[in-house]
Amino acid sequence: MLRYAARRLLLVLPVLLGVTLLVFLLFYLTPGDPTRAILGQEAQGLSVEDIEQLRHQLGLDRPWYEQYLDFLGNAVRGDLGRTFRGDRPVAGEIAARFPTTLRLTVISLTVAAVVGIPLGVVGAVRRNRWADHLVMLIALLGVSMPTFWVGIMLMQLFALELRLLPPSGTGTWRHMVLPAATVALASIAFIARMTRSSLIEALREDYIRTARAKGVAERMVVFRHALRNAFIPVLTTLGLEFGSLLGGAVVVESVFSLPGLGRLTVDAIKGRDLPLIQGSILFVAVVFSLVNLIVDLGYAGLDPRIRYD
Amino acid sequence: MKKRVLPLLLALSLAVLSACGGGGGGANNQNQNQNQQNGGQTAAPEQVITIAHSGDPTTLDPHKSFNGYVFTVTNQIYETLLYRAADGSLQPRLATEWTPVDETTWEFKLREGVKFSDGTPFNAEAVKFSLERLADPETKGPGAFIVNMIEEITVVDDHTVHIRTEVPFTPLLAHLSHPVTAIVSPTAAAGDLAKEPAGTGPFLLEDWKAGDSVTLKANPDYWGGKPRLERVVLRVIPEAGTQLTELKAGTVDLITGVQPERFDEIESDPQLSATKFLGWGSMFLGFNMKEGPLATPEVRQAIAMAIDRQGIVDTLRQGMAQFGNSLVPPTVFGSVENLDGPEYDPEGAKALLAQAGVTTPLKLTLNTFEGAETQQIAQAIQAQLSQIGIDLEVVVTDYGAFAEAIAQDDHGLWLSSWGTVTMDADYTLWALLHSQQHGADNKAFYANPQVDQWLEEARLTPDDAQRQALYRQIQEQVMADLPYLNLYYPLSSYAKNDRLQGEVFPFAAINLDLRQAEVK
Repeated sequence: MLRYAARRLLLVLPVLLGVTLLVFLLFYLTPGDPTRAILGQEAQGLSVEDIEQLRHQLGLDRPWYEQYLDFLGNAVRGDLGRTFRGDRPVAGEIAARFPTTLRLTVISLTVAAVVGIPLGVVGAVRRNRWADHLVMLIALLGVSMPTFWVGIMLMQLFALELRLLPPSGTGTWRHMVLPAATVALASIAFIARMTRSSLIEALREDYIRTARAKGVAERMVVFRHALRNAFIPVLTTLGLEFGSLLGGAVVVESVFSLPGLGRLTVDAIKGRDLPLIQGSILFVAVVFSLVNLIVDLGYAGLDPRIRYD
Repeated sequence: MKKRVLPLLLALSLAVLSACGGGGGGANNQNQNQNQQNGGQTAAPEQVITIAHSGDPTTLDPHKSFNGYVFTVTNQIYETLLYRAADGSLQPRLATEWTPVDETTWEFKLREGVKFSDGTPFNAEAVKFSLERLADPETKGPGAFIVNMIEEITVVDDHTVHIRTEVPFTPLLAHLSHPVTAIVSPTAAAGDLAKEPAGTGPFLLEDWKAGDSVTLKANPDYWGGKPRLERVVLRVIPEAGTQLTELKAGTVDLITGVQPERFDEIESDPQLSATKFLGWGSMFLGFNMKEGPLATPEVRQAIAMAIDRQGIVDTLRQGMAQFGNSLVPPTVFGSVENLDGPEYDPEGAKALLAQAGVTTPLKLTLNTFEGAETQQIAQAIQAQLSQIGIDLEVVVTDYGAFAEAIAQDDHGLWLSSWGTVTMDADYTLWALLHSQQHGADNKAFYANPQVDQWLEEARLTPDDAQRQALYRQIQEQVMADLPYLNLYYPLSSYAKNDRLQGEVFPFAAINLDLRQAEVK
């Protein structure tokens, strides 16, 4: 197990190398002059020399591979550099945004799991009956309603009409309710569908028939025998959702004015802030890889046939 | 299980219903009720306001950015030597008097008895330090160009400083009122100014949560008297829709950049009011006259005659713009009122093209950047030009790609907004018209030696009337040569909860002045 984990961790390195290289190449292949974009719309009236000087100060006049090697050298030593727009440490910017993203992810996914898995179980057990149809309708709605729309509707209802919750921002737990509900709603749908189909499959297995033939109570059959075996794809889904949410939920962060990683990354891309783009994507790649590893290790706990020796 | 699901469904269907039902009325009643309750409960209102900020200030160091989101905050913490008041005049701020010593040197008398918030005394050394810091390439400040004409700064005595420019440069005073020329505490600048700012301004930094909010508190030792507002919270709220919801919910007191279609909705709420004002901005069309069809004056003239600029202002911008021919708005020094320009005359335009022997359909491209306003205007121009046989391809990209597309010399027309941030026409006219600026902002490749000479003369002339006359000559020549066609001046706008009184916006949202503001 430990050796497996160590090997997997080693395999993360080429992934990170690939990700950073890809970001660098995309940055240089995207049309548009980075220096001008960094200056933004408001910095007008500069002379050619002013722009060239700034390009030089930012190091953007050097060949891209030189810049890339420099970045790698510094990153290995734990230095992610300084932002182009504002000259602030990149690591500090990421550290300031991560707690909000982590909080939103943990709360919304917990809610999604607590609501989504039972919904899926109900759907599977009461297959093709009205309860199942209701669950599937909710899942369909949850998947197909765009997040920004759900967010705006929840805000209008709970903040403006009912005045139960603050519209947006951070500060108290009440600020997290609407964004977490918005994210959770989409995830609930996802998880419920996955649980339902996986459980239906498991309930068809021979060992279930055997268990029922032996006279095991239906509750035991569903929860002890079938659900445990049906859980692996659900765990995979949860892991993927967790990983991608940790990369930031841009839309929800924007609608609810949350200072999360998603907005940081998108703002950095819009402003062509290369060190910040590079740093935040590298960070997300590390987090995503780690979450994946943990999920893989978790399989062994669920299914004794899976062993990592 | 059913118990958990039903409320969710109910809530959702309610939300959908309320959205479809036009919304407005219910929300307003709620707001009124709450405001009345609040009014009944509190005797003396707490002097705290919350302002919605559309973007994240990337630093609080005024020298390291050239961005409005940064300046809105730094303008509260720091001050400049001069101050551009809402009536357009230059007023004393940290400098009390200024007099020319010779052609290239100005003497500034500095305000005495002023201290930075870290205790460091404000003096001539601090002025020299700050302006040199801004210009220093090590600072990596994108705003260094605002002071790059300064040759030398000399400390005469503790409260007198001489600033000498390379060549005579009359707009220097306007430049020294720009927020990027903020005077910072030399002691604090040795540390991290972005985190621990120290200025002489009316407010002090209390807390900065990156991406979330900046909290300012009144500076009790402010030389102009402690501001009445105890605390100002600037919250980063990127979505315009969310900003408006916050304003209506009473959780935010001030939002800027109100969309024209939202004005009625805001005005219908008795607690709220919306205001628009003419700022420093303009929206213009540029013609690359270096080569190709646009090098022919008749083609530019015909295009100018085919665009119904007044119509664009009236119908598309819904009262959020003002029409004018001058390249800088009437608020800016050097703007020319009653400047004659091309009249809307599509038939005449067609005739002009035929007369010049241009074969139609003529294919041209127009570059612009993403944004509801620019895209809408570009489409209108496209439709209007098709009437005179010009087939216009509109290319919309993000700002970086737009800047790149027009950076070379193979572009055609482009649509761009511009801000005369120093409030002096030199800033815009020099950048757009002088032949030295080819490759920079003179993307029209306009080269008129006479105009170059007038532009240089205007920089040398200390006399306002003479400068104004030169800027008139220049712009009359521009109307004849047509390297650019001004479309309109966009209006700035803001909306507020009326409990906030006394706020002043000199020409731009970023210049928000809260020194006299209070909660009523």
